[in-house]
Formats: sequence, C-alpha cells, structure tokens
Amino acid sequence: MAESLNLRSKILAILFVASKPVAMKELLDALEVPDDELMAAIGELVAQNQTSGIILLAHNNKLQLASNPEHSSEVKKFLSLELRERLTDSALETLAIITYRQPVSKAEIENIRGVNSQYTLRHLLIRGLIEKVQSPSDKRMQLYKTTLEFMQSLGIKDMKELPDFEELTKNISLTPIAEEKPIET
Amino acid sequence: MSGFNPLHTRYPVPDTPMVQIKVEQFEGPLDLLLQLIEDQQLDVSTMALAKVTEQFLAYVKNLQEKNPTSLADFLIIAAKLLVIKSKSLLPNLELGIEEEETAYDLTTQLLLYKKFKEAAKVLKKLDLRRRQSWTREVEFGEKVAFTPDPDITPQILAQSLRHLAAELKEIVRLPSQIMKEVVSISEKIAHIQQLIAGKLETSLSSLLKDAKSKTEVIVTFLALLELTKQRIISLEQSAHFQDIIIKNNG
Repeated sequence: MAESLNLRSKILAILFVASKPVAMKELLDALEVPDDELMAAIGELVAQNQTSGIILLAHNNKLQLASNPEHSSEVKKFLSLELRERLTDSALETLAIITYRQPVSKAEIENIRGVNSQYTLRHLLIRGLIEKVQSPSDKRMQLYKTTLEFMQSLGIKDMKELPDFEELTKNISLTPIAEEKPIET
Repeated sequence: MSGFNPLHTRYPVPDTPMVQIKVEQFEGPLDLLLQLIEDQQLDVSTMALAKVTEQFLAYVKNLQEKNPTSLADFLIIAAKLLVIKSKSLLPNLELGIEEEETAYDLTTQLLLYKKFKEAAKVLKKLDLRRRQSWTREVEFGEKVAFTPDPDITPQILAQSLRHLAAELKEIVRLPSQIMKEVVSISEKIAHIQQLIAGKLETSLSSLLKDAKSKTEVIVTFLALLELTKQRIISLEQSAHFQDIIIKNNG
C-alpha cells in the first residue's frame, strides 16, 4: 500500500512539472515500473478526481493535470477568462462519432453522417478537441481521436463518465413488421 | 406492367412542398430523413422511407436553388430512396442484388446515424453545463528568460545591434514592383454588355480607346468573341483592317 502511494505521488510530481500532456510511455521510462502497476496507480488517481481541486486527465494513453471542472466559475473569474464557445450541432455530431469510434477515419465519419465533414473536422482540429494520427495498418490513412482538451472542454473528469454506447442506444432499433407490406398509393 | 422501368418513374413533386423545411435546420440528408420519418411517427423501416420519398425529393428540389453545395450529399440518398420506393410500389419487381442491398443499407445507415445523434445529445448536455477545466500551460505559458553569455560587454551588444540594423536595411530595401491591374474576360464581358445595353451599336476602336495594355486589348477581343458565341452581340467588318462594328442583338 505504501508502495502504491509512493508511485502515485511520483506520477503527480512528474505531471506537475511537465505541465503539458505526458505520454504513458514517457512515464514508464521515467518511473521504471511495470505497465500494470502504473495503470493501477493512474486508475486510483483518476478515482480521486471527483473530490480534488486538481484532477488527473487520462485519455488515449496521455496524462495531464488540470483544474477540476466543478470549479469552472471560480477559476474563470481568477484568470479573467471567457468560457469557450458552445459547440454547433454538426461539431457535436462529429465529435460523438469520434468519441465512440476512435480512432476513426474521415471516410467512416462521413459515411455515418451522410455529409462531407471536412470543414467540421478542421474546426475541431483547430480547437484542439481532436487530433490526427496515422493509421497503423495504412500509413497513407489518417485517423481521428479525441484529446485531453476534449475532456477539459466538456468538463469530463473521467472517460468512464460517458455512457456506454451500446447501453445508450439499445432502444434504437429496426421495427421488423414494416418490412414486407407494400404501401398503398 | 411489363416494360415498366421503375428508375424512370417520375414522382409528382409538388410545387409547394407539403412541409416547409428550412435548409439550415438539417445537418444533412440523413438528418432530414429522420425528421421526416419522425414527423409521421414512423419507425425506421423501408416502408417509412418509401413514404417520405416525395417529401425528400421536394426538399432536394428546393435545395438546388438555395444551397447547391450540399446537393451532392442529398442526391446520393435520393437515388437510394427511389430504389426503395420502386420496390415498395412494385413488390414483384426483380432488382439486382446491389439495389436490394441499397434499401437495406439505407435503413441501417439511418439507424446508425440516429444512434450517434443520441450520443451527440450526451455531449451537448455536457457542453451546456458550461463546466471546463484548465491546465497550467494554457494560461501561464513558457517563461522566457534572458541569459546572456558572460563574455558579452555593452560594446559587443552595441556592435551587434548596429550590424543587425544594417542587415535590416537590406531587407527593407526589397525589390518592389507595381501591381498591374488585371482585367478578366468575365469582367470585360460584363463591361461590354453594360456599354452596349444603352446603345444599339458601338465599335471596337471605341472599346479599345481606353485600353491600358496589350493584355486588355486581347481580353476585350476574347470577350467580344464570347458574346458573339452567346449571340448577345453580332460583329460586322466591311473590309480587312477596318473598324469592327458591334451590334446589340437584344
């Protein structure tokens, strides 16, 4: 137990001074601990996010310390900041597809939405909510993922807060009876 | 019914669509389809799709004038809808495997889209909470520190600065060139049309009177050729190298 506390505080120390997203790999190299031990310690830290002023954002193998979104208005006041603009419906739609299908290609996004999504994707990239990565299977193909900034922007403390896609959409289904009958005209 | 080709069937497209739909309201053809189906309180099925085909087509017709850029996306779906509609009107119709798949694909595509719309609602709810978290780097930035080489003296600094100023002078003295006004053919066409609209005829020499460059002369001549081709004007020349008379056909 003491050892795990030790590891947690080491992780926090590194993330505090890094003040930018740190890749899991970088942490592993610095801490020289087994993969699963690090994962467990990160899980414990994320679990404390609900009650702490500083939270650990963990997403897509990247980590960063951030302020707790529950204190949005106080931090905003302190920094004399404005909240970011609200997202448009097409941005939310595209973001939803990326969130639940990541990493996902532009072709797949456009296939699901039925519209050209070039502009919306660029907009999301500029705002830092998504990022492009190279497809491991085909180097010419770019895939899209959500970022830590996505979590910050929507005030998500733990990706587990987002509902499971299957669970969320289980009531949306085909009605089989309507298939056979021709319609009267 | 033999010899009846469903793909050539025309569906009556009402001049005033039954439902007035604003273009901006929809994220795309699938969004529109979902709305049409839900307005009729139907579930997503091929039958429902067949039922709303006409409304969809009416909308696309409307779109042609208002927002032609997104037309292509809508036309793809419109084509699929027509296959489904044909099949529903003529159940015995033998369609190719590809067409059969089209109908199935569209319902599954629509369902998947509906699921993601549901997921988008979750994100929208988060967005509307207006909660946000900040990281340190975003607000405070990197500290910029000046740590000069200990050997540096004020004299060396002054000398470097003079050197830099001299170099800047060179950069400032970049070669300059005056931009020439370029007249495009379409501009010239518009200009000639405007000129000739008032009078019955004019001549090439009067058009070229104010030409500023050889390019403009060429562009004028090309514009005249284009207008002649479009039968907006006609050209007459009584002999070689004589002035060309331009007549308004309108």
